[in-house]
Amino acid sequence: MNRRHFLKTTAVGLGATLAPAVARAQEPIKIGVLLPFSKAFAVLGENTYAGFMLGAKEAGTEIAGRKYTIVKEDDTADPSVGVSKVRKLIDKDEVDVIVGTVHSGVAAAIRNHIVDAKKLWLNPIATNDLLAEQGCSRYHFRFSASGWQSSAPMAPWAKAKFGDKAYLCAFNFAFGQQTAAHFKRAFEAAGGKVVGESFPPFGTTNYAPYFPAIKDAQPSVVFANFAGTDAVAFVKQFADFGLAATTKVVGPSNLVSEDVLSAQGQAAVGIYSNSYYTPSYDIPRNKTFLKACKEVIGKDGDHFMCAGYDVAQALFGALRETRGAAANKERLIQIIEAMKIDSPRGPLRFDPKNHNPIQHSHMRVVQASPLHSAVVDILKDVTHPDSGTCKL
Amino acid sequence: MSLEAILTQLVMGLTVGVNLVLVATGLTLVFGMMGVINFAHSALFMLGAYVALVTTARLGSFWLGLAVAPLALGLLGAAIERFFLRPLRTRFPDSHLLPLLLTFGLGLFFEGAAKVLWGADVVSLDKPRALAGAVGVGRVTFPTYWLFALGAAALLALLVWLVVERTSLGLSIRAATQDPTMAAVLGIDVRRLNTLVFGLGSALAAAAGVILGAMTSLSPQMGGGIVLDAFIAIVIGGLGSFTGAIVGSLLLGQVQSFGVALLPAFHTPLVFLVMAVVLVLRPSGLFGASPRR
Repeated sequence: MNRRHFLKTTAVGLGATLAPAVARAQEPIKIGVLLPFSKAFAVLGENTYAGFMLGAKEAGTEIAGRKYTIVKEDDTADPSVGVSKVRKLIDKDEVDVIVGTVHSGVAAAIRNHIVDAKKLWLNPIATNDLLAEQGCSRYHFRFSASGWQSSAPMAPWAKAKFGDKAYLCAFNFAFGQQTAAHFKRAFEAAGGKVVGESFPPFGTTNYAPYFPAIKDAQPSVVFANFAGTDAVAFVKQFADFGLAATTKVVGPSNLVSEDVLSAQGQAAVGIYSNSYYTPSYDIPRNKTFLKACKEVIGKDGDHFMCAGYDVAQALFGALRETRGAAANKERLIQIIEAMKIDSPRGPLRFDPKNHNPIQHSHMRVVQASPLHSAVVDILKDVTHPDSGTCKL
Repeated sequence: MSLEAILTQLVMGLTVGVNLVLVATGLTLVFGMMGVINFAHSALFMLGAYVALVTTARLGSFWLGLAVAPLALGLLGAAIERFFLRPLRTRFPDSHLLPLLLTFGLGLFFEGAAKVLWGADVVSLDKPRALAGAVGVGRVTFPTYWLFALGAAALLALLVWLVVERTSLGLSIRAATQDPTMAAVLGIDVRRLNTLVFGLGSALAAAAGVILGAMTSLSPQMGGGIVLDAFIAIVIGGLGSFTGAIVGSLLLGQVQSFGVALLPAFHTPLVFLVMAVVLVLRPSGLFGASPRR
């Protein structure tokens, strides 16, 4: 090979590698957003999206001179729909990053598709423990809390506050059973005793048959995990049958979250819950966030909006640091791993071992007029325990 | 279990059974008298609750809501029979499937309409203040409102039974069920009876929706679960038998209640096991007549 030929081929080669890079720099960054926008989880998806868009608005329309576009897809909270939509985002839209989703089953179903395609995956809501255990991935960051974080931290707290006998009552599917098991392990590890448990089926309308056993067990505290209409029926009937007057109840935030609280009404007053975000949490950062929610979204802020908002803070913050180089995933992962996010929930960062959030756990109690959850305690820097199954 | 524990569990099971009775009366009336399995029953149940919610909000009285909802839904039910079911059943008199599909479709439509009208949010229909407290029976605290629901269910079931079994109207209805042609020949207006029966069934669904709605909550899908359970109760009791529906409901309530207490890990499939056993031993249910056609 002579010198001239060498120069020529190298120049062509360089040109070939540089050309798309130059072209890409002018192309907008593509952000795929996969959330449930219809069916039962529609409100949750809409609120998460509204929070994300609020963060995007604050970040501006360009990141380091590069524009971005958002491709919105509706997974309908159905795993099979989620898979086909995530394939579309990866194969057809060729997005740089995927933001999603709410439903834990959808999160489990899309996990391999995103990880195999090596896309940066920012998960605002899905609580599935799997994603912090054997199903974890270096590409995945969670902005809500794991199932463990939603249940276990309040066990030693409840034991210290209420006494050492607990009764578990949760709906009979994965989320209910897993959180009850986490609570049980943590309660027993703290020296408490679980004196009984029951698992009513999903969609139960009459909880009366479950109450005699709870009453007879005389627990110091009942761990309850229900959501939606089940949470309303359970909480109302627990009060109707006079148990609420004698027994303390603790549960994950969904037991008394904003979507069910007004329907539960006075029956919910006095119920304790834990969450990573509380609208009434009194810090300046949250005040400005709530004001922005009211003004920009036109709704009261909730934990879905907070999580969506923090996804935007992390994503646009990291992109700003790479000067808009969305393709440099390893660098983006490094930046988010080291990031300290000033969240409306309080300080938020990620556990380098499993990319799960390290954050405060708010212990709250429902108060009357106006009906809301008020923070009574803050458990600092709660993180999903390292079980050794997660290899990033 | 101690005697006291058994009695307590019996009372709790009774509440479940009574909820089912409320839903099952209208359902079994329509099937027994018209031979139509009304898949819109859960939607009518839900609409009844929402009508009561709106009425209560406007007029400030739960009792007015409980009165208006069955009236409104009774009229809607009568209209459904007159303008949808009757034409279909006139054209396809032998089809059991088509009325089922029609009512299923209407049910889906009503659920969608409710979502548009009132949103998908879970809302609460507050029980009347007069029934807010609880009564103590031994160690058991029993909510006053649930006592009212028990009485209301007994009253409605008794009323329907009296109408069907003890009045000339009921006699005409039964005649029309057994042999529509002969009944018509004898001067009974079978068509008008059908409208009346479907309207009555819808009114009962609405009353159940109001009474149970105040125990739980209102949402467009609120009827699905309990109406399915009521179907199971009716099948156990014997499709088309009014007594069977009542006995089936009360039995199912006890199966659920004692299942929870004695076989906690197995109580969900237990209900279906009981249904399977009953159907194997008595294919037409506990009180069902042997298949007619």
